[in-house]
Amino acid sequence: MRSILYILVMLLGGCVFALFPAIADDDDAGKIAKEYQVKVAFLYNFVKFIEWPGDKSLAHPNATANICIMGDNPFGAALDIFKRVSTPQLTLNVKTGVSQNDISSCHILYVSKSEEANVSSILSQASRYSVVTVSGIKGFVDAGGVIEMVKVEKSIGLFSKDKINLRINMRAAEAVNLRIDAQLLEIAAEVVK
Amino acid sequence: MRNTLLYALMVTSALSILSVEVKAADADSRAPSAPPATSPDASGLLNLSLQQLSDVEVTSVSKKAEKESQAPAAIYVITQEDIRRSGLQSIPELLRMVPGLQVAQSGSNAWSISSRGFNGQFANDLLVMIDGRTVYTPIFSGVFWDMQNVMLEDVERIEVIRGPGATLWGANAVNGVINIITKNAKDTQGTLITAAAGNQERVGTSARYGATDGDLSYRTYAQYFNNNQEHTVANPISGVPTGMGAEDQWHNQQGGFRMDWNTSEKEQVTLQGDTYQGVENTLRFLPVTSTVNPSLFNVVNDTDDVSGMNVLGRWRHELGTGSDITLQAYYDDVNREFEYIGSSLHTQTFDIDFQHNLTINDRNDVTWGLGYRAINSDFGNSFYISFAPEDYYENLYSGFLQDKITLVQDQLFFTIGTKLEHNDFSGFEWEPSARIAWTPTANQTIWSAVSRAVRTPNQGDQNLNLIQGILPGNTALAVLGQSTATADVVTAYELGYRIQPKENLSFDLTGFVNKYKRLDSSTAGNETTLTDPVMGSYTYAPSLNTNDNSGETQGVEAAATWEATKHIKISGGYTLYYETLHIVGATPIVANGTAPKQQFNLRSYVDLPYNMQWDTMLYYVDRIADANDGFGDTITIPAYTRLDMRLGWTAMPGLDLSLIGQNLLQSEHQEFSPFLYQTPEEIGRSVLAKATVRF
Repeated sequence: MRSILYILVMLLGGCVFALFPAIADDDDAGKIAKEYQVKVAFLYNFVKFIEWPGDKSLAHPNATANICIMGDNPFGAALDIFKRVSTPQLTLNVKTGVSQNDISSCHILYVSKSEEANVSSILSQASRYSVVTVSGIKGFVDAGGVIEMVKVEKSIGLFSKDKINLRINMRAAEAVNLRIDAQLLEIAAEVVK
Repeated sequence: MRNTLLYALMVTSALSILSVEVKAADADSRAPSAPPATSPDASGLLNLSLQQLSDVEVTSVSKKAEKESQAPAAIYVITQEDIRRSGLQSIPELLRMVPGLQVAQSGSNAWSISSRGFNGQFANDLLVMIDGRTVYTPIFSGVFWDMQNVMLEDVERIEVIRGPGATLWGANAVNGVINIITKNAKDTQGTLITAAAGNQERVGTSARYGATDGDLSYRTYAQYFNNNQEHTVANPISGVPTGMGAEDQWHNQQGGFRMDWNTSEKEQVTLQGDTYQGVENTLRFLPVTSTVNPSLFNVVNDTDDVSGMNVLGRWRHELGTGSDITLQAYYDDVNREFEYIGSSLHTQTFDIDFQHNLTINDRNDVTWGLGYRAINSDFGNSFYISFAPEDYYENLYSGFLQDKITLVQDQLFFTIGTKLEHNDFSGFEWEPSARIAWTPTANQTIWSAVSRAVRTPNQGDQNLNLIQGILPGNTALAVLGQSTATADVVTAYELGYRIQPKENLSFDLTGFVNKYKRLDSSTAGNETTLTDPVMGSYTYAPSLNTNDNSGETQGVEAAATWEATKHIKISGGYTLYYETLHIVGATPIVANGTAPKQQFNLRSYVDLPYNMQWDTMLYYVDRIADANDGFGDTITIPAYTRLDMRLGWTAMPGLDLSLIGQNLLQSEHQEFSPFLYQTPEEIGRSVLAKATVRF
C-alpha cells in the first residue's frame, strides 16, 4: 500500500510539470523532411557520377543538365539548391510537372509516387531516350527504372535509423548508353542486372 | 518500503532541479521562428561523399519520439531476420535467444517458458499475446505452447519486455510480456509455399497467398505438420525399460486469414482469424491404486485432442497530430481433451479494448484506455483433474492511464502510470509504475523503473483439484485450490543502460530486483474419506494452495549486437539470476518454479558467396538445482550446451533451401522436469531440410 502512495505522490508531481509552458516544438511542418533533402543531394550526385552519351553529354563547358520532376513535387523548395550550385560550366536546370512529351530533354527524370499507376508507360517512353529514371516507388527498378531510392530501416539491437539506399538497374542504364561511375555502383545496396 | 521512499525522494528532487532548468530554457526559446526552406543542412548534404549520404539519418520526427532505444523498459526484439536465419520452427524455440527468459523443452509438445524465474509448464507470471490477443490459459495459468502455431514466415517481429508490463497490459504481466506480431497483409503478397522434412523436428508444409485490391490487402494461409518421431524417456524409473520411447508423436493443422485496410496514415482497420486442430500423443505416468502392484504409477499412452479458433478486429484512427484512438475486439475459443485422463477443457474468451493516445502541451504524451474481458470455461472433470465448480464465468474490467512527460526535449522523459483492474476473485487491483529515461547523447540511454504488479488468482488457484500420487493403502495426494487464494504481488526495481558506441555495435544491459509477497505456497489440509467408482473408498490428503511464501529475486540481462562486416553479424546474450525464497511448508508441484543461475547465447549470421548463408547458434544453460522430477522428488537437471547450425542457399530468385541441424553437440539431454503426468523426456539431435518457394 505504501509503495502505491509514493508512486501517487510522484504522479502528482508529474502532473504539476504538465502545467509548464509548451516546449519549442521541432516539427516537420515548416521544413522539408530530411528524407527529401537527402534525395535531392542524391540527384545532384547522379549528375556528377553518370555520363550521358552524344548530345546529352555534360562534359563540355556551358552544359545544362535538366532535372525533371514528373507528378507531385515532394521536394518543395529544396530544389532551389540546384540554382545555388549551378556554375557557368554546368547549369542545373529544374523542371517540375513535366509531361511524357518532355522526357527527351531530361537528363534525370524523377517519377513521383503520384504517378505510380503510370510507371510502365512512363518507362517505355523513357527507354527511347538516354534518361536516368529515378523514383521512390517500390519495385521501380524491377519494372525497368534505372535508380530506385528506398528508405530502409537500419537497426542494430534496439537502435534504429532510417536511411536512403539505392537500387540500380545496370541493364536499363546500359540499354540507353548511360555510363554509371563505379563509385556510385559501389555504394548501391543492390545492383540489379 | 524504505527503498521505495528513498526512490520516490530521489526522483522527486531530481524533477525539482530539472524544472528550474527547463524554465530557464523556455525563456530563451520563446518564439520559434519559421525555419528557412533551404536550411544550411541542405548544402552541407551536397558536400558529403556518396557513402556518407547513404548513412544520413532520415527518421521522421514522430518516429524519433517513439524510439525503442530510448524506452525505459527491458525490451528485446526478435526480428524476422532472426526467425529466418535461426532455422527454428516454433515460437518457444525462438524465445531461447532472449536474455532474461527461461525456455525448457520438457517433451515433444511441451515447453516451459518464464521470465525472471519461476519456470514450470504453467509459468504464470508471463503474459503472452499474438497480435494483442492473449494466449494465456487462465484455467491452468499458463500457455499451451503446442497450440500456438503461427506461420513464422509471416511474423514481423516478436517483442519481449521483461519486467512488469502491468501498466498497459494488466494483471499477469508480472514478469514480462511477449507479443508476437504478424505482418500487415500488404507485406505478405503473392504465394509462398514451404516444405520441410527431418528426423525429429516437425515435418510439414505451409502455403500462403496474399493479394491487394486498392486499399484492401489480404492473405490466407494453411499449414500442416506431423512430428512422427519420438523422444526417449529420461531417468529410467522402476518398471520402465531403458531407452523406452516417449510415444510423443503429434500432428496439427492450422489455417487462417488477415485483412488490412490501409486507407491512409490516419486510418487502419485489421481483421484476422485462425482455426486449428491437432492430435498429440503423450506418455503419461498416472497414479493408480497400488494394493497389488508396488509401482505407484501406470504408464499410459494418452492422447490430447486440441482444437480452436479465434477472430480479431482492430481499428486505429488518427484524430489530429499526436492523437489517435484504437479499438480492438476478439473472440477466442480453445478446446483440449485429455482422452485417457478423462478430462476436457473448453474456454471461450471475449475481449474488447479501447486506447487513446494524445499529446497535451507538447510535453505530455498521455495514453489511457479501458478494457473488458469475459471468460467462460467449461471443464469435464475426471478423477485426476477436477474443478469445483466445473463451469465458471468471469468478468474482468480494466482501465489504465499513463503520462510520458518530456522534462528535457529529446533527452529526459518521466513516465508515470497505473492500471486499475477488477476481477471476480480478488476485486480491485492497482498496478502503478514510474519510469525515467535519460538520453544524454543520441547514442546512449539510461533508464530506471519501479513498478508494482499483481498475478491475480484464477480458476486454477481457486478451484483446481489435481491428484499427484497414490500411496499404498489407497491414500490420494492432491493439490487443492482455495477460494481464499489471493494475488501474488511483486514490487520490481529495474535499472538499464543502452549504448551504440559505433555505427555497427550496440549493447543493452538491465539489472532488476523483484520483491515478492504472497507467493504461492501450500499447507497440508485435513484428510477425508471419499469414494470413487474405480478407486473405491480412499483417503483424500490435499495440499492447500495458499499464499504464504515470499522472497526476492535479482538478476542481470545483457545483449550485444555487432555487424563485424557487411556480411557477418554477431549477436550475444547473457542472463544471470538469483533467488532467495522464504518457503512456508512445502511448495506444491503446480507452483514450483525453477530457473538456472546463468544462461548464455552467441549467434553468428554469415553471408557467403553464391547466395549462401551459414548461421551458427550456441546456447548454454546452467543446471537447475531444485527441479521436481514429476514424482515429488527433487533432482538436479544438469547444465547443457546446445549448438544449432543452418546452411541456406538461394538456389534461384524465389527458391530458398536450408539444411538445419539442432542440438548437434549432445545425443540427448533433459531440459526440464515434466508436469501433468507427462514422462520426463530427453531432447536429442535433429536435422531438418526445408524449401521455401515464393512467386
